[in-house]
Amino acid sequence: MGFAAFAEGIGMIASGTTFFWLIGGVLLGIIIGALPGLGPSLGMAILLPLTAPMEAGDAIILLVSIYSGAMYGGAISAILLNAPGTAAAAATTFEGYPMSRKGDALHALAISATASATAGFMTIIVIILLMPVLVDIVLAFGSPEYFLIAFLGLAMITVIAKGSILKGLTAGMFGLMITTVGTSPMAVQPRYAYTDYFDFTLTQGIDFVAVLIGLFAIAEMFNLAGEKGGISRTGTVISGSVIPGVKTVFKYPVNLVKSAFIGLGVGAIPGAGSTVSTFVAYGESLRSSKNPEEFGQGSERGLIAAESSNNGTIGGSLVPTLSFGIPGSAATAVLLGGLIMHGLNPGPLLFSDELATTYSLYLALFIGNILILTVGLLFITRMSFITRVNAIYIIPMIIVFAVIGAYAIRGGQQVWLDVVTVLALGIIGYYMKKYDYSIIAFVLGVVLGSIAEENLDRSLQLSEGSWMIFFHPIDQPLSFGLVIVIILLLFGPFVKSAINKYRGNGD
Amino acid sequence: MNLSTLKERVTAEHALLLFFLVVSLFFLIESRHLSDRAAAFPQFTAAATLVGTLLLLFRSYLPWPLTVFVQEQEGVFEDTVDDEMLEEIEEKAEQEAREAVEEEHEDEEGDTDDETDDQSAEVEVRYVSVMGYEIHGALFTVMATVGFIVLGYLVGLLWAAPVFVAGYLYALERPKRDIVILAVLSFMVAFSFLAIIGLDIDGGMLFDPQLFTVLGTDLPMGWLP
Repeated sequence: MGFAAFAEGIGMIASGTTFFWLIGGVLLGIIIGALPGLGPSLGMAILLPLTAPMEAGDAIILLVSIYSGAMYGGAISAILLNAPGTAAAAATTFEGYPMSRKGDALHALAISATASATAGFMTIIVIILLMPVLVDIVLAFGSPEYFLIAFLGLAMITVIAKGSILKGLTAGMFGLMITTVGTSPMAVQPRYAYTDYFDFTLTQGIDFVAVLIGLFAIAEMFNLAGEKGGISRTGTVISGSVIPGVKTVFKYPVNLVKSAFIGLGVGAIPGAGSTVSTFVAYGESLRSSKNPEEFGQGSERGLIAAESSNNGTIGGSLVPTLSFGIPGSAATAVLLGGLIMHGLNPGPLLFSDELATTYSLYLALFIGNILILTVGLLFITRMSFITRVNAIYIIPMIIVFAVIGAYAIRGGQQVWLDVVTVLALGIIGYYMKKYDYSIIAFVLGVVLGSIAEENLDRSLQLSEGSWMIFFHPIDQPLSFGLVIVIILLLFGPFVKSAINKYRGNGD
Repeated sequence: MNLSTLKERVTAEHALLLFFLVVSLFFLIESRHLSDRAAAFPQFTAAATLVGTLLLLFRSYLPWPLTVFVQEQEGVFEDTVDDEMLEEIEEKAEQEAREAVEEEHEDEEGDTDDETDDQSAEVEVRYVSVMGYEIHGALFTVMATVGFIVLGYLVGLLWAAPVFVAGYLYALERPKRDIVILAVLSFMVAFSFLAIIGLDIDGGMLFDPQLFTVLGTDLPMGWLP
């Protein structure tokens, strides 16, 4: 079945229109990623409604290609202007911009394209080879495990929430709470939906895509509007050369492979994402370097580590997204919205009946990396003009895109509800960002709400109300293991903090 | 505590938390009308949001054991990175960037454009002057977006889009040529939604000419209203 599905996946990619969407997606993604303040999640969120009339396979491949292209594109402005196009490219600025200052911008861009594409190739090949094993693991999961995986995703808030964990947990719980608006999936009873406000009817709930557009696109535009500058106009001259840049990447094979797989591993942890993985890989590269003093001065090793982990994350973050419907990053949360919108529900079906589609996604990423390498090495020098675009011009255009996109999400009486949702979530998201309430935690809550609720209810129905279905070490070893991991994640940081405080007092 | 001290202490974060509080209370109270099975999950999430919000609202008055939950924490992954070394590198990189900015600033002394000169690493707040009042850029954008949505509801988003873009850029004193180009571009963006997916955005509550809706009838999303 595996090989036949793989062959079918190749057939899907090779069909005329799909290949066109793949190329278009990668190129569009590179442009979106290069614009500081945009990034893959925002770009995908804006374009999501436009994919509605497309074939499901084409739409998902377009979104995945945008994601892949944008993750690479973020490095362009990070290297040229010290302004990371994506959060994941923040570590790239540490070494990329100093290289540009030294007149090695082209060298840095060549390293970035080569490291990104090579890491992408390696990690995707590994995932495709491991797919049969992955299929068995995914199919071993039942309702209790799905509930616990969703809960694990929520527990990840303690990892991803920067600053106060309580702020992250509150944001996540608020996200979960708003998913209860609509109709109860088990009791088939309307919840908070009994009133019609100005033609709005809430029985279908608040749309996930509208929430994403509001939180990512609109909130970011409000944020940019409050800051002067936004997108730099610095006219950095691109210098350096391409071929030595390519060779440099292969001068440090261990650094390249290690960073790529750090990206894959951390990216596969729900909610962790590429921002975490790039910093972990960069830190590890620094720790293991014989010349740590070179870091921050334009170190090639540091740049390779940041860029290879960045692209390695993409394949990893798709694993929990496709397997359990738990996004590994903000961009995969939007991708998840796309999957659901096109009737492809994450879970065992994507690894059995829809295995060909899953293979086609990874193959699209593989081909996308060839495109990244080609475009990165041959054409990127001509793209620096994009990053000189003033934010003032971008803001109203993105708002127009986002509002009309929201209007297009659902038909009937829902159109203005989705527009109002986008505006309301934009304002809430703006203030959450301003006061360090994790947006990703909020999105995790919104994404995991229905998965958690349905599987919790189903599990308790199966066990006739007994909670031991989650804890029994012999009958439910997988569930038991997950419970242990969740407890460690939830209470680990608090215990660590208390121990540190105790030690501090002791000193 | 006098009124002015209270005003200084109350920030937009308190408003955000108050919003969480009111919404979670509403969800909690309204769940009484639901069956047990349908109410369990909303009650749990609303109660958790409520507790979190209350802890955050009164964080300054919490006893020591509870402050552990609200103080700034380190993430799980932070131990894997040598923090001091990373901070040092970040500082170095920032210093370099600042020096670069200063050099470029000196190089571009002849350029008097405010935004071109604004190269500093620190973020400067943007204010927009509307009828003699200085408004924060974010607030102005929120108001303009609300205006765009209301206008779209009344006359259709197709016509509201160029008006919004032109008005926004005019308020930010952009050159007339740029305003016209962007307004036309926004109309084209809106029109593409109508032409490609047959979205009914050419009319609203007050004005519904049905000029273009016919285009959408045979299109993939012609089912939209």
